[in-house]
Amino acid sequence: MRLLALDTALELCSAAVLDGDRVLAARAEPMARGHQERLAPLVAEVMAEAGLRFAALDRIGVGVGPGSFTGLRVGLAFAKGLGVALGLEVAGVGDLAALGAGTTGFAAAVIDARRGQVYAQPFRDGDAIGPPRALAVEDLVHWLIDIDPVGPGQLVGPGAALLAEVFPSAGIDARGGPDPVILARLALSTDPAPPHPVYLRAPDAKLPASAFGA
Amino acid sequence: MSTDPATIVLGIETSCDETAAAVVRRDALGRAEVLSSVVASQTEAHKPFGGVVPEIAARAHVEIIDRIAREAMADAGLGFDNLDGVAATAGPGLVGGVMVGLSFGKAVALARGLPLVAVNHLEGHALSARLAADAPYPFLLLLVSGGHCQLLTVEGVGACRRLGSTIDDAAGEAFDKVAKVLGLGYPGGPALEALASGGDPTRFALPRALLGRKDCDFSFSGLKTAAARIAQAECRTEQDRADLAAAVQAAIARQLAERADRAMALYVQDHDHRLFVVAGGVAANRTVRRVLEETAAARGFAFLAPPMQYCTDNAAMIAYAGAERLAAGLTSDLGAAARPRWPLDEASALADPTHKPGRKGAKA
Repeated sequence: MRLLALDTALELCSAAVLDGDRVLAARAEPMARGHQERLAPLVAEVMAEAGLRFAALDRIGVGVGPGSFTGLRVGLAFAKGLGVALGLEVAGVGDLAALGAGTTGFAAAVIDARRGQVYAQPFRDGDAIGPPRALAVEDLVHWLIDIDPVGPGQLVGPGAALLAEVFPSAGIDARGGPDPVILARLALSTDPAPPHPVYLRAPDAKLPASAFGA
Repeated sequence: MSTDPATIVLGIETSCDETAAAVVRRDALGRAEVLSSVVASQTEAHKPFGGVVPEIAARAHVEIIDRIAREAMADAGLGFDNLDGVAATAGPGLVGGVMVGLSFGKAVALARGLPLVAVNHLEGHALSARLAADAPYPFLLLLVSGGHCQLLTVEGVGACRRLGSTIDDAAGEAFDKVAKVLGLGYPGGPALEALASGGDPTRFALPRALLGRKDCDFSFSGLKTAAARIAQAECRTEQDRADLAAAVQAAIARQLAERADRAMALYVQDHDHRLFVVAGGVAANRTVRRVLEETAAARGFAFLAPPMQYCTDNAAMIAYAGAERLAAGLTSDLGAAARPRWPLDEASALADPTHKPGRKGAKA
């Protein structure tokens, strides 16, 4: 099965093309903003490098967050566009799952969610042992110590450094986003259900105090 | 690309609170045939908040954009092989939503090897009258909606000149805000019109905007504030509310007609063909429409408003604007940015900004 996977939810703009176990092309560019502008040209370049026409693809994979709301929507909308235009299924992959998939032992994937919060998920040998959550850094520390009083051996993701002082013995891998090949492999092994974004946070919107308020 | 001189374009629109996709065929003479037009409104999702919440809008767009595009293709009875291009709104509008439609459109274009056209939403409205009627260029356009209020001469695609614009609120925004003060909910325009039908428009005096100026600019914020004050201080009965609604509607219609009249006087100085087009959701208001028809008739202008489904936000107008651009050889590259601010007539907007442009540039 030939798959193109892409991810714009975090601090990378990335794409990878696999043919089964074989990696045909993969690229990850560090990026704080501008994913929308860069994504289509990057995908075109990666497909050219893989030597594949779009019609030769069998599946699309995409990182569905958590991360930047706008960023994850850019990737998801793009993946859906590819899926509709090519008649292919789209497999959504959680960005925390993709960050944690390469870890060994007790580890946590951590994304800086700003406002004193992180998006995080605990793993044991790359398998999730809890759900993805948005929570205060302090609450994450308690969560991880409850799982294992020694704390995680590995912290991975663009929020990993926030816990470096609390867990000084943990290995820190502060990568900006998941390895595109790992994300693509998860997309290949996932059952492709219609993908949904993972925000972990409600939209900022306040209900008016009164319908008659000016 | 087919050898048929006609072009068939898929259009995508996600700049506010409608998720829309459409397929439009443009023949060699520039005439449009709408093969499908699907619009999913999010009004219900925003209603509790009394207005459009950008993050809620963007979330809704990305959930259904694929379904809406598939429906548009199925309704048109076409496959992606039949398309000659993809057009997506790239602004102005709520940028989170714009990025959803633009990213989706780019992916379709890239996957099928089709040209992409990043369309200015306002150009879509400007050309919308051509979807259902013969509206040869050039014409005088009043674009009047919840987000925009402008008078433009439309010479053709990429050739719009601004004669006037609102310096504060859009006319539809004024309708919605007064309706909110009167407890009519969102969107308030149609509800305010219904309430006004039993009211006396002469009972409450409302301020007239920009009396000292003789240009074609609009202002509705003073009217809105005065109406809010009257609503709180003097509206006790249902009749009071109806009278205020009628006064507000009449004041908005009068201002639109006055500025349109001035624009017509300017327009005839260098144009022979007299066609006045009104586009945008406010064109659905019967009082507004009547006074604008009267104004056009008095100046010897033919009057044209697109059918209602093309007045409010839709993707047929985006597909058609894309087809017009393709025919003119204008395409966009896959790196095209989403633009929250994107004046249709950038030269005028920069030279004579009605909004203080600030570091982000002129709004519209």
